[in-house]
Amino acid sequence: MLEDDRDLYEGFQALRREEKALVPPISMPARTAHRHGQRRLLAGGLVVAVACVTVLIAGTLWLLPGLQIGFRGQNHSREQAAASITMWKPATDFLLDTPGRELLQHVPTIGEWNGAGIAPRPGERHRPIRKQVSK
Amino acid sequence: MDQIILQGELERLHAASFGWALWCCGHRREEAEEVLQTTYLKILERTATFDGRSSLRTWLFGVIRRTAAEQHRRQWLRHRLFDRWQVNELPPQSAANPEAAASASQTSRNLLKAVAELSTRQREVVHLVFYQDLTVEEASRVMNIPLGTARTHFDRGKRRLREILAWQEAANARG
Repeated sequence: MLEDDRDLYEGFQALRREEKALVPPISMPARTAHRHGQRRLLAGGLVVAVACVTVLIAGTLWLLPGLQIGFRGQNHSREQAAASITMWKPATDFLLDTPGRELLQHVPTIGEWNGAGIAPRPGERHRPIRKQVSK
Repeated sequence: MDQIILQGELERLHAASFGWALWCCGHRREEAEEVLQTTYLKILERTATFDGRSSLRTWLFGVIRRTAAEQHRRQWLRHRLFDRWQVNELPPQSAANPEAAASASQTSRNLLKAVAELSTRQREVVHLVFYQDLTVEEASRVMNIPLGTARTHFDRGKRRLREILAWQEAANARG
């Protein structure tokens, strides 16, 4: 330090001596450090407790499928898929809709009315149509 | 460094550390105490570790300075966030401790007023050299700036301080 700065130096040293009387004892920060440590420990415990509760709730929801939203959603999509398969109709289905299509849908038995011509009434014998010969 | 030796050194430097913390916090006593407590906590919990590259005092002053800056930023952010609800929570920047102001002599009060007119870096380097008896080189390490920059701030700070003190004397003489 230069000799020219002596005045400033002495001014600051006088201020230092005055401020020295206001210095708090060092034991106070040490006590606060302990308090800070306790507070940090408490905060850590709180975080662990919250994490445990969250895991517990998540586990309960996972184990009870009735309550689980995700599982319900999965079922819903499966039902939708099954419904869409059974209800599906091919786009060219109308081409098979021809006259006499019903004949192809079941196996006919011999002697039984197969649907062609006029259907006999119940109890009436079937009479074959004879060809009329002109005389 | 051994924990017991470190604690002993902290106790030895406590008064000087408090003086520096007080200046870093604009002479707000409560804020300075909090900064110092946080600093001790950092050191004792080894969040800040002394690597022996400089003297313990230089390193400690650097930690105090950083802690004060962090606290100031945190307070500023808190003030900005809760500005709508807590308008008068943060004390004004120039508010000095009334207890200190009452106990200080007229010369010291004038000096404090004059120093308050300097820029932050000028104030810091002038304080570290004249108040804490550090060299400009040590002050530059505390402030984490190059030596040349510290010298410039020191010279300008001294010049400005003399101007303000001369102006104050002239004003007092006029009555």
